[in-house]
Amino acid sequence: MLRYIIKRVLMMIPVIFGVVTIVFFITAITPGDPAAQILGPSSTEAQRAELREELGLNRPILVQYGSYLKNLVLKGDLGTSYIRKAPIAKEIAERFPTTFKLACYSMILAIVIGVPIGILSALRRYSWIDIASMSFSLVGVSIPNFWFALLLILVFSVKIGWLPAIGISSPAGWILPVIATSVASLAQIARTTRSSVLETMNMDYIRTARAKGQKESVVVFKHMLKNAVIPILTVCGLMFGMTLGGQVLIESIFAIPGLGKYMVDAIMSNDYPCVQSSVLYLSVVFSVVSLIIDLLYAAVDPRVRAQFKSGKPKKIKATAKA
Amino acid sequence: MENLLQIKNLTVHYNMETSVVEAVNDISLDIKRGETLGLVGETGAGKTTTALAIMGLLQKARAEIISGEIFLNGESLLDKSAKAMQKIRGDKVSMIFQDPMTALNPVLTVGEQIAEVVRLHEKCSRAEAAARAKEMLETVGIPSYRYKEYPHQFSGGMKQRVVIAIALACSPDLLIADEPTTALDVTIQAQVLELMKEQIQKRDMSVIMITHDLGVVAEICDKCAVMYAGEIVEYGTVEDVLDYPTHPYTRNLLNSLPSIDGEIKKLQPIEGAVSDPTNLPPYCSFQNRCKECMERCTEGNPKLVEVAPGHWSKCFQHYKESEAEK
Amino acid sequence: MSKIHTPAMDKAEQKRQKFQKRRSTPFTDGWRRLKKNKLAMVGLVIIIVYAVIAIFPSLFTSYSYVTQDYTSLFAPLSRDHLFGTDNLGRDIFTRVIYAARASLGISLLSVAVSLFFGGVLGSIAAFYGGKADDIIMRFIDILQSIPGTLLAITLAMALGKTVVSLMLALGISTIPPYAKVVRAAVLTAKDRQFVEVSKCLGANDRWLITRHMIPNSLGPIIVQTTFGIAAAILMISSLSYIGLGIQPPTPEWGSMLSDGKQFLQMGTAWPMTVIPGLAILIVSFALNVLGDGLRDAFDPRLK
Repeated sequence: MLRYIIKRVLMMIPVIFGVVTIVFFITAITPGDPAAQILGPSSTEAQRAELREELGLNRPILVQYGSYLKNLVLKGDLGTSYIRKAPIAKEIAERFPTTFKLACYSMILAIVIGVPIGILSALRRYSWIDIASMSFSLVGVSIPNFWFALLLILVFSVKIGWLPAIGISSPAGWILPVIATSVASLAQIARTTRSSVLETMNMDYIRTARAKGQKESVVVFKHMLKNAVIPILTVCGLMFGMTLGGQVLIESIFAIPGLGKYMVDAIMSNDYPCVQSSVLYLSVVFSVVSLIIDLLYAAVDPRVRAQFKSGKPKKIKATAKA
Repeated sequence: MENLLQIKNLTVHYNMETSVVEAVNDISLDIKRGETLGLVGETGAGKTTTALAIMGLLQKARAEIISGEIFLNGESLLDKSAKAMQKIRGDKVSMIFQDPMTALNPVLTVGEQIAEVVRLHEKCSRAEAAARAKEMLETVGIPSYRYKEYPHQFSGGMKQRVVIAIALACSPDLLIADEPTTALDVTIQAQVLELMKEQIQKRDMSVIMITHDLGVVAEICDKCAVMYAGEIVEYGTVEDVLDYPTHPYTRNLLNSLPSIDGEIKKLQPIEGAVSDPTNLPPYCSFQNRCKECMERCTEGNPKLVEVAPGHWSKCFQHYKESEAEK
Repeated sequence: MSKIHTPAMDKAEQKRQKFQKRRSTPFTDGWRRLKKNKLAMVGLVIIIVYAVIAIFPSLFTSYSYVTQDYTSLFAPLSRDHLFGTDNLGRDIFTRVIYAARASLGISLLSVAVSLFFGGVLGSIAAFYGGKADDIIMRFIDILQSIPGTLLAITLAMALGKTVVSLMLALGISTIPPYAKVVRAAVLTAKDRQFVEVSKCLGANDRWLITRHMIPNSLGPIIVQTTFGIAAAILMISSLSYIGLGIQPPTPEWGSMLSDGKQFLQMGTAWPMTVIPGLAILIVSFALNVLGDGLRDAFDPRLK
């Protein structure tokens, strides 16, 4: 098992390397002269040339890529902000905990509410509970999360005045951002849980459990859920990625000093390296979360464990309907 | 001997979207204590539906019991509450399902799955249940150290042994085995059948052996009931039915099988197809395939007639003398 | 005609007669199932209305989306201004109507981009298998380990703040699901008998892919595309909201929301925030409902 985990962690390296490469080359195709961006319109051509020399922008792209990689791997150096001239790695590290906290809170909320709703809907299929919760989930997956955030502010801050519209200085400040961020994942998790439970429901082993004289509640919780959980886990992983991306707007709306707001600010001021580095950082976090999800499969399903032991991991086909 | 199970005039339909499947039509059956009944018929003859009706496991959404009663030890099963049925299932009546590949829960160890049924019906501790489960594994020929293994680590035959262990764990009064060997390789079939035979002989239980394999019936059963299109067309002791078949369908069925004793005969397939179960005729369902069919066969549905003591057949051919009574 | 007659039989018989006369192919069957799904049909109607509005916006409003009227800023809902006016006195109804055009056009084009690249990559991977499959799918995995929104943001920034770059950014960042769907569909189709037959008759690879595999894997692709358009519409508005993508004065729902945000604290300005978002919600809801319906219709396993 441990050997498998190590192996999987090592397998992540080429993926992260690939992400770094993709993100770097996206940066490289960016039109315009970074030096002009940094120095502003009033700079002279000589000044720009000097800065280009200094930043190594004159070198061939592959050489730049090499030194970028070298700095990244050896020093954890993500480059320098065009605008503030500050090391990006440090800026990101300061902001990341807030972003991570918001993502985790939203995911917890989404799972704690979404999974039970999905189970209930599947068990009471076509009942009013099912119809109501699936309609809400449909709205949940369709609603633009940033608009939902604006609506929440409009209702709970502007009209009723219960909760702060911006900032997370008080715990109450977290409430609206967490709700706004979790709505899509909550809806998607509820939908996936429902369809996964429905699929498991008709399995032969469920009939076997009933033939033993097992109580309905135990049939559901012991026999069905353990089998239905893999697609749910899969969708939780996917939703975590979506949450990280979706937070970009939510954070800027609620003025939460996290990576998302950092990115939006950087987009507004054309501070490319900051954007690229944030994307890189969040992608790595997402990869780690995906890895954890993969390992969780093994915790619930002995067949996956067996593949782990034999050292031949096979991608589990998720029935998640995204 | 007293009757353990009585089925009286059971009719079960499946209400599908654009059709109604008449799966079981007015069947009556008695099974005595310690008796093994072979329930024979083609796919779709209503064997499994009958079994599920006894278990109380018919799909609620689709299946409808139109009429009939089922008694176990004189108690009506169809009148029992869901809770009361849970107490009976697995304890008094248990069932072996056809496909061992999917009948076991993939995420629980086989031991847990056997211990589960013990824990449900017998007041005992976890440890005792586990001990019983290990005992059961040995009984069905699996070394008890495999208790902690998962279904995917077992072959098909081994899985079916586990399923048998689950079914036998609480020493049921009635065991329903729904084609227990059909999904297995031929060589494994013999082993599993041997195991079942041994257990049936050892225990004082009644068995309904659902199968389309007459060889299995000859080997294991005391009585035999032949089903066709949801009806029992012939019923009697195994010797009566297999050696002196009286219903045209049974005769056809026997002729369509290769003989094992080396007698070389030309096989005679049964021509035509089973009547559409969503549109059964109001007369004899076998009429359209029957070589011995007569004019009156389309006039009404014959009843089971006792052709010899304890040997019943559902055909107008036997109506000669008793006809006047009708 | 039965042993025992039950009321359920009459009901079933009526239904059967209703359906018996019709021709039955996978597509007519699917369409029939879809038609029975009322919610999906509501979705379809909304989408048709949306498409008409997007193509002929001038039929629905007499205002121009750029006309500013400083005499009526933040006007409330009225007969003149159905949804009121914004901070520059522009008619919100008109702007929402015209914004449909941008969001429909770009979402369709971006989905076409991802469908094209995803389709090519997916079918090559599935058709040739082995090394090609490994390399392509590894690339897709890497692409997928960057959260979609973030990849789109990076690309949109790198390509510049134009409509074309927005379309490409969205298209490229959503390649993975299409590649996977097409790959799975082609793999399934590959095993089917008629492909073998065609091969024996000497058909070449391109013929096999375009004439046999793609038509036979159309169902899941249509479903994915429907969901994809919904996702693209959400993404376009997100990107426009943060200033990437469609630039003013061209109206776009996301950038309208971004304008509205500044006046959120002002009680009378609520239509600026509520209306454009509602438009996004309705269209994406309709597409999701239709997608669900299509999936159930073409893959009736769960029905």
